[in-house]
Amino acid sequence: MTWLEAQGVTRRFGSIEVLRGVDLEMERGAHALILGPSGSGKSTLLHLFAGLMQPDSGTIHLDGEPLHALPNAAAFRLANIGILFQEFHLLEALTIRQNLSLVADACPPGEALPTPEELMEPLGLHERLDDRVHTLSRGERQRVALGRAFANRPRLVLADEPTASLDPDNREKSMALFFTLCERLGSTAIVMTHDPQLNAKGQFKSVARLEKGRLVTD
Amino acid sequence: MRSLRHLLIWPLANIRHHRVISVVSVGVMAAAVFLIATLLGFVNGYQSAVREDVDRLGYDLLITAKGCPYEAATLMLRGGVGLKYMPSGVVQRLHSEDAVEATFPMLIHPVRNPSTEQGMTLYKGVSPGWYETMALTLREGEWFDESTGELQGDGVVLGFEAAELETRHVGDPYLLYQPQTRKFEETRVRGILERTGTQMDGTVILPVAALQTRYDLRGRLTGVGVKMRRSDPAVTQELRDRYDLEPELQVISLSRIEEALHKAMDNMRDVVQLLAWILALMAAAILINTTLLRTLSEHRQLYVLHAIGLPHWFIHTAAAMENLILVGLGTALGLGAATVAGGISSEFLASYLPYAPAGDLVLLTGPLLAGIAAAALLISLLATIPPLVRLGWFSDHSALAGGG
Repeated sequence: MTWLEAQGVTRRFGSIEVLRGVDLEMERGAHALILGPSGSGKSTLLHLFAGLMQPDSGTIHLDGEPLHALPNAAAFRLANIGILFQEFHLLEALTIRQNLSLVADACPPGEALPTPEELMEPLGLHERLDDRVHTLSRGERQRVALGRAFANRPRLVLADEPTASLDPDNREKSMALFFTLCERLGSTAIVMTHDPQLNAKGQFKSVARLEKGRLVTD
Repeated sequence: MRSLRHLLIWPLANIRHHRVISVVSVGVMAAAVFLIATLLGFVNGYQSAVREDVDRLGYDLLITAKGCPYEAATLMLRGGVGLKYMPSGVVQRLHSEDAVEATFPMLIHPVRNPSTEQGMTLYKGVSPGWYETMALTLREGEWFDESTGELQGDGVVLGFEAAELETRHVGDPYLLYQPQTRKFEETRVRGILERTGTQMDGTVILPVAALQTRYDLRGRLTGVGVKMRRSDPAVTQELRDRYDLEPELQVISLSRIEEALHKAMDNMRDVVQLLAWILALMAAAILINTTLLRTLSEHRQLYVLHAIGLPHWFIHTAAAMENLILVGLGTALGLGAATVAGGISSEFLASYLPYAPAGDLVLLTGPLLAGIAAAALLISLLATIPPLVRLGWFSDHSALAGGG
């Protein structure tokens, strides 16, 4: 049964038409990989799926909710979507714990959310929760960003070039952790990347390429 | 509700993280607020200080020998009178005026005194009622006896600084120098006045008759203070005009002194006021600039909060809170410094004034301090609006995109 559905999504920036009719269907719990070179529109598509931007035309539905026309996209995002940014975008002045609890504390009450300890334990940083982010290495920050993307127990996780700055060894470890968290928390995932090696082990059942503003399935 | 604690955690962590910028921001704001408070306090305090000085004169008119009214006014405010002697009979004529309640004949007699470093002692001869009218108080000792309607009693009453300078206390001997004989005549200190902040502090006070006798100045007066029976400006004006017409006299009314001083000071005060307002505007611009730059520099972080899904009110409040903490600290420091250094600022400003009235020239009242604090905090809140409005149309793509 289709859980996430995009139909004929277009988005233009000035005279440049970045997306020219993207169609996508995903089932709940699936992991999709979207490949595309720099400038192909991956980040634009991520922003559209996150409700951070509206398409010029077309529709996006998540479990029946119209992501393209939500009255309060921020609240929906907080309750349903986690984002892992390429540049991490952590709040540098805060500790690991504060970065994670800021998201969790803002969520509606009643939700059984993972604690910072639970999130960081598989990522190996559970004993450094009170360290400030600016004191961490790049690899450690990447893991904190990964943890934060799951802090609200998202139904959908969006990752933008999640391993772009990591060496092959760390890339493999990072993706393993990503799938571990997806499984533990039951999250559906869409990963945008330029790197086909990300699916070297065939963990993504669904792989598509962004070509000339359209999604092409192999 | 759990997220509310982050409204304090995030701003405090940011302030700590950008330590140098935070310290500089607080310092700049404190300096700006200090300047605003001091200059507006001066604008506030100068006029009331002049008025207090004038009130301290105690009488309504001063009649002196003809001379420059500005010089006479200044000398008078500094505790003296014009140095020419008045024609005889003026006091008696004033006594016969219905509108006059009391007169205070005065004689100022400067004596070159070889025993003092300054070389000059200012003796002031005063008459009954003068002490009460001038609202003076004694630090120690006693005033002259006025029970017989004349000022009687031996000795001298010293102004505060005159006593300090010569380390005299009540009962100590005091030497009056006689230039004619070049000898000192011994008397004693019978009282010491409290500090007045005027040149009265440096004078040696005797009954006018005693001063006239000791220095062979019988019948000589340098001025007569006049207290009117009731405060009717028309009656006072009539008397003033009548005596002012006499070729050897000039009459200065309190309002005229005030007016003359204010006229003399107006240009200077306007410049200072203008300077105060320019500095206040500059300080406000600095405040806006500092808070705006801080909020803009954190725009990416604010957008991250937005991308995570935190509501706009939370982001706005967190950004405003950071500004409020910094501006609050800067304002508290600036106002504290202005209050603590009020005396020094007063003296500093007084050193540049041709006539500086006694008392605090920088008058920092509660409403003024509260107004400055409220304005500073309001500015800091307003400065958070543009970056947050910008959140609404900021290109999402350019804010967080990785390059795809």
